[in-house]
Amino acid sequence: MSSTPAGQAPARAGIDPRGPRFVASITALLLLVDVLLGLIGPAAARSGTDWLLPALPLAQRAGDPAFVLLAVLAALFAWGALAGVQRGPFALLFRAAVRPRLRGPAELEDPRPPTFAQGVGLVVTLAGLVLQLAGVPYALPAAAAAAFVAAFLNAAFGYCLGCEMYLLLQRLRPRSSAAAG
Amino acid sequence: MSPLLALLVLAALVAAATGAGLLWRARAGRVRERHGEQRVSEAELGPQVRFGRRGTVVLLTTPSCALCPGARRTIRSELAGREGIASAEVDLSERLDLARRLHVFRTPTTLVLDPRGRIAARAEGGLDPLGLRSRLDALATTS
Repeated sequence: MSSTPAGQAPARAGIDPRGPRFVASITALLLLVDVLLGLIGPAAARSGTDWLLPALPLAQRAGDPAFVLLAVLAALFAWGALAGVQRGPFALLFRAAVRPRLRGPAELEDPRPPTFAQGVGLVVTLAGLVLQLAGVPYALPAAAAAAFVAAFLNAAFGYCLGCEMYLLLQRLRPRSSAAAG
Repeated sequence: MSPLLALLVLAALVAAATGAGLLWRARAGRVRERHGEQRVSEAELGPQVRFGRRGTVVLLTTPSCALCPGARRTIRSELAGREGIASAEVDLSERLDLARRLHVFRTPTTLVLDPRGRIAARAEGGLDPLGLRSRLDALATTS
């Protein structure tokens, strides 16, 4: 980015790559807590030989603490996906409280890939919420676990699973619409 | 589910994610030699693309690719001072036909082409500078 030839449109402002990883660390921890809440809650409970969840009224499916926490996390993903990964609440915390204590970043990063990945996180967590409301057992902890793996890989290894989904999703689209796009 | 069993599931989840991360780190960016006859043409990569006399390095990207800028820097610095090796970059989000034909699922994917466009080496999910350097050295001696 720094060697963009003069005369070309200035490169988008890069972001400190440690910002998204800081956000992913907090997200991963909260998602792990959510998996635990999901597993000990009604999403994974049986009453006798049947699953408990389909027998519960809608309000109790939505009142499950795991559901509430995942809804909050989905809202955070939506925030990051719409406003940009560098403008979510944890990203602001990073900039205000963490970054001033660090040395300058070795290099800056394009904010678009991690922002796209926030959108992937939103889709996964929303799927878990909808399936829990539909009364599907284990759907909510499973969705939280999938999102946890992605956030954990980003936080611990700097590997952005959601970013790599981009090409995969494009390739899965039917050939006709792909040719048009 | 009992809390104890739930904690065991959690431990297994963290262990599996750690294993996946270590596996990914060990494999990402490794430049692997290719012995097949798969080729790409100049025209297929873009109207401006001309192969180098000794070979060509092709970087396949997407707009959402987090590791592509790093791979781009690696290619630029490894090609500096080398004669006869060209480079090209293709945004696969506009070239899904190429992504399908070359079976690209991850970006960055880097191809090292011999002078006739045969794929001599390929790296996925990052680009190891030392691996690229040794492939470029090999191109320089065989062609």
